[in-house]
Formats: sequence, structure tokens, C-alpha cells
Amino acid sequence: MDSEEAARLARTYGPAVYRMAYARTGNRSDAEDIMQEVFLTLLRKGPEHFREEGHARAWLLRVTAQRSCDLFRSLARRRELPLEEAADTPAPVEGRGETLEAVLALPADLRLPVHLFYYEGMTVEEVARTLGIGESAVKTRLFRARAKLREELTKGGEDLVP
Amino acid sequence: MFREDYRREMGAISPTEEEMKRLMAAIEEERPVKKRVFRTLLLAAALCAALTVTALAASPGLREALAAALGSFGPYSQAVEGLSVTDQGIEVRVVSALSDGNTVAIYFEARDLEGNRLDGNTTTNMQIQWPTGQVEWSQGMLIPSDQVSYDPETGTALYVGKFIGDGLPARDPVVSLYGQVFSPDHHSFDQPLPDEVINRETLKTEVLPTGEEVLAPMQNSVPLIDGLLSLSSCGFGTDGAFHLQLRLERGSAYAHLTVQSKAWLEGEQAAYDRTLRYRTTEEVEFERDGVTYIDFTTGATVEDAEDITIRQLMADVEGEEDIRGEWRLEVPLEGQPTTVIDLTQSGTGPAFGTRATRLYLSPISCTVESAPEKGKGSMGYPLALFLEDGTVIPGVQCDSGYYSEGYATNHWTFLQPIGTERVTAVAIGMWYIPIKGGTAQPGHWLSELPQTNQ
Repeated sequence: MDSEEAARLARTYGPAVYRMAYARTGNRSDAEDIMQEVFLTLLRKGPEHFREEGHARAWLLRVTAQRSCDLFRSLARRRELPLEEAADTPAPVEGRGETLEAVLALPADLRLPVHLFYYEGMTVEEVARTLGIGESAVKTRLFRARAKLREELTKGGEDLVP
Repeated sequence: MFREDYRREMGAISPTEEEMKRLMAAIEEERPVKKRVFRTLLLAAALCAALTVTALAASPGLREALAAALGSFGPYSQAVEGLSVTDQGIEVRVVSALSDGNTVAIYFEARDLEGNRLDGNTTTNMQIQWPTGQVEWSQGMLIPSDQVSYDPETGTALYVGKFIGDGLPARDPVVSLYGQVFSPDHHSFDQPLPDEVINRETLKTEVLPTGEEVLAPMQNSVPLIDGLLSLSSCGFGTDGAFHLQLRLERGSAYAHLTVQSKAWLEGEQAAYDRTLRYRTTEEVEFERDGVTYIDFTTGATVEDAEDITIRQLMADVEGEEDIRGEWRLEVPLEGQPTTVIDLTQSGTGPAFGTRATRLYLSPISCTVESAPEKGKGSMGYPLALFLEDGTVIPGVQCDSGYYSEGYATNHWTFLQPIGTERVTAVAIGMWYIPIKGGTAQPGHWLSELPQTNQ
């Protein structure tokens, strides 16, 4: 793909890629690294241009999911920690809202399904295709995520989670 | 509440201007660019509504196509004549436009003056560009052109390109329509494949002169895109690895294969490592008798035969050579009038922590300007309009916006034109705001999101 088209897609979908990476990592620096890597992958390996704009978005979000997971694996190796520990909860950051903090406090494998379903407004099938997992796995993860979010966000007495 | 809260809080997380600059530099230099500092926030979202225009199309067929797309936006469109440019024998001609200073749609035709190179599957990277010297828009979203229709009799394709400018409505802006490529015979394939395409017998392999081991072509062929792309061979080779091989009759293709573990897809976490192992390890393109083959070797082996599934095969195929050139047109837009409504008394500050200041309402879209408090998001909730005859138009989705500390805008595009003088109230999410004499009155919460009453 030529750099002009890659730049256009970056302007259009950069924020969505960044947010998805942030939802997985809880860290702006990692989100930026992933965002750059995703668009460099697009530039080097992407098609000349996508037939439909929806394909571009789907392609970018799928690569973001892969790169986010790759980052955790590389962190695990770098830190010589088990994968689960490397993918542990990001540290709370001042200024982040309570709901976002609760999502980022979820186990790593639950965060992207929640983000894609609740923020991107994807269906279970679309989430499954984006993450490359089965619909049943998505439903299971959303169920587990809702239970944990309900527990976390109803401490004040109000049930905010559907 | 969870969805709204999460969307609001996550919506405030966006790449900063510096991060976007580094991203653009990385793309230009084709290598990662290191970080320095963080600063302002930007926001972009998805476009939802399709906008249509009237025009003097090149043929009755295209006029009909426009009429079909016209809907009720026709009276609000602007006919454009005498605006064309030709390069590489392709004439691009703007036929119509629609604008309210925020939402812009431009319809244009492409016609081959030298032959019949364009077709109903010709895509283009022509798009509306950010206007130079434009000060009202703080950020914008460019949407590439889609083919609306193709008339084989005249060899003319009709396209629409769209743009949303975030911020205050621009007064009669001049935008560029610019592109460098038309791609005829451009197709996509993006689907999972059934297990039946996997041959359960051991398939023959060949070693290419370059040393890679690939499946012998055409051992279990399945068509994917008629006359253009097919599955050539798919299964376990004598090298023990799972391969998938594509046959491309002409042109060029970009393809991506995703093979995964069925057990993992069904929720068995322990199978995660297997799914990682099943990834493509080698992708080789080779030619045989003038036909191109693309062979994927994966990390899956015969022992994994019952566990693997082809989760996704994505291929973007161009059957013919691109037509490359430069087409640029400056398009003066005549904006629809916008009504400005003062929202300072609407009570959104206490309700959302984000004080809405002004509503810019046109027949085709609206923008809300707001001043979010620290840590609070913008007002990107579904919008509902209440009309004087009691009609409620609910669920207009926010399709774009801009966010920085203390200042934000949100934008909604209507699916049908709205007579602005008929609007007696709006609801942002469940906050109902009556409008009287061009000024918003104190609002209140509704018990549920507004529903249609038609």
C-alpha cells in the first residue's frame, strides 16, 4: 500500500486502533507502539487499497488484536514471567474514569471482548471474527466480564452493568 | 449505564497530536518513530448515514441510479456543472454535491475516453481532501469513494465521496477531490472456509527452484471468486505440514490466512498455544503455466488434523492493472443554512459533567459544542429529535467528534432531512432539552431512550 493511503487510513482509524490497544494494555506508551506497528504492517503487507472501507477497519482491528497479544508475549519473555502475570492489571492512572478503570482491571483475555462489544458496538459474531476466537468463547468471556464488572461497579450500591 | 459510561470514558482516550504526528512520520519513513511527549486529544468515529444528491448524470442509467439513491435529500443538493479533469484517458467529472458546512458528500463520474477499462468492480482512491485555509473545522473524517453505479453502455462509473468536518459549520468551503488510482476488476474475499475443503489424504508436494516446499497445484480445487481466484490445493503435504494454496488466474492478490484450534474456539484455554502454533510460517508465490499460485505453509501438522479449522481467508484481488494518474478538482460547496441554538440553560453541565453550549442544526446533520469538565467525556450519545407535530426521530447515532481538554464537539448525520423550524426539542441520550424561541430551556431526564412513535 502506498504511504498516502496508509496515512489516510491512519488518520481515520488511528484513534480506534489506539483505543483498542489501550483497552488491552492500559498504557498509552504501549498503545502508541502498537498503533505504529499496525500501520507499518499495513504499509508493508497491506493490499494496494481495500475494496470497501469496512474491510480496512476490520483488517486493522484484527491486526491490532494480534499485535496487542504479541506485545504481551514479548513482555512475558522480557520479564521472564508467566504470560498471565505479564498480562496483569495495568496500574490505575489518575483522571481515568471508574468504569474504564474497572474494565482495565479485568483479566487480560476479557478486556478486548468487552471493548469491541461495548465501545465499538460489534455483535458477538463480529467480535469473534476480529479476535479470531469462537462465538461461544466470546459469550463466555463477556459473561465472565459482566460478572466481574458488576461486582466491581456495584460496590456503591447501584447496578450499572447490564 | 455501563455502555454509556465506558464509551464516554474510553472516548476521552485518543492519540495525542504528538502521537499522531509520530504515526504519520513513521508511515512516511516506513519505520517506528520514538516518542517524546503527550498533549491534546483527538477523536474520530464511524460514519453511519448515506447522503444523496441530484445531478446531471451522463446517462439515463446513471440518472436512475442517482434517483434511486436520491431519497428525500434531493432538494438540499447542489448541481455542479463544468467541473472535470482528464488524465490517462480517464475523465472525472463532478455532478453534484451536498453540504451543510459539516457533512459533505460529492458525487462524481469517471469515464474512459480511450477504451473500456472501467467496470462495475472498479474502485478508486479518490477522496475529498482537507480544505486549505479552513479554520472552522478542528478535525475531520475522510471517507473514501464508493461506486454507486456503473453504466456499461457509456463505460461510466458513478461514485460518491464523503467528508465530515468536526467543529463549527464552515461557510461555503472549497474542498479538493483528489485521487491517483482507479483499480478495475477489484474483488474481495473474506470468509471462513468449511472443513470439507481440507483434503484428508496426504497431498503431493513439490520443491520450488527457490527451495520452498509447496503443495502440487490443483489437487482439490474450489472456486472462490468466479474466474479469478480459487482454492488450488488444501490439506497436509508429504512434508507433514498443513498448507493452503490459492490459484490466481490473472492480476495480483493480497491474501491472509487464519488457521485456528477448534478446541480453543470452543473455550478450551489450554489449546491457546496450539492456535498460536497454527499460524502461517511461510507464504510463497510462484507461477506455473502463466498462472500464479500462493502457497501458505502453517505450523499445523498431521497430528492436528482433527483440531484445525480455517477461521478466515481474506483475499483482495485486482484482476487488471491499476490506472495510475492524477485527478484533482476544486469543488466550491454551497452550504445548507444552519440554525444556532443556545444550550447554556439546558442543564447538561450538572447532568453529564459536560456543559453543552451551542447546537448547530441543519436539515442534514447537527453539531453540539460543549465544554467538558476535567476527566469527563464529550456528548457522543444517540440523539433524538422531537418535531412540532409530535413526531419523534430517535436513535440518530453520533458519527464523529472532536475532543480536547475543555472543548468538544459531537456530530450526528440524519438519515432523512429535517425541517429545522419543526424541531421543538432534542434528547442527547436520555437528557431531554426543550427548545423555545431559538433557545434551549432547562432539561430533564427521560425514563428511557426515546422510541419512534411512527
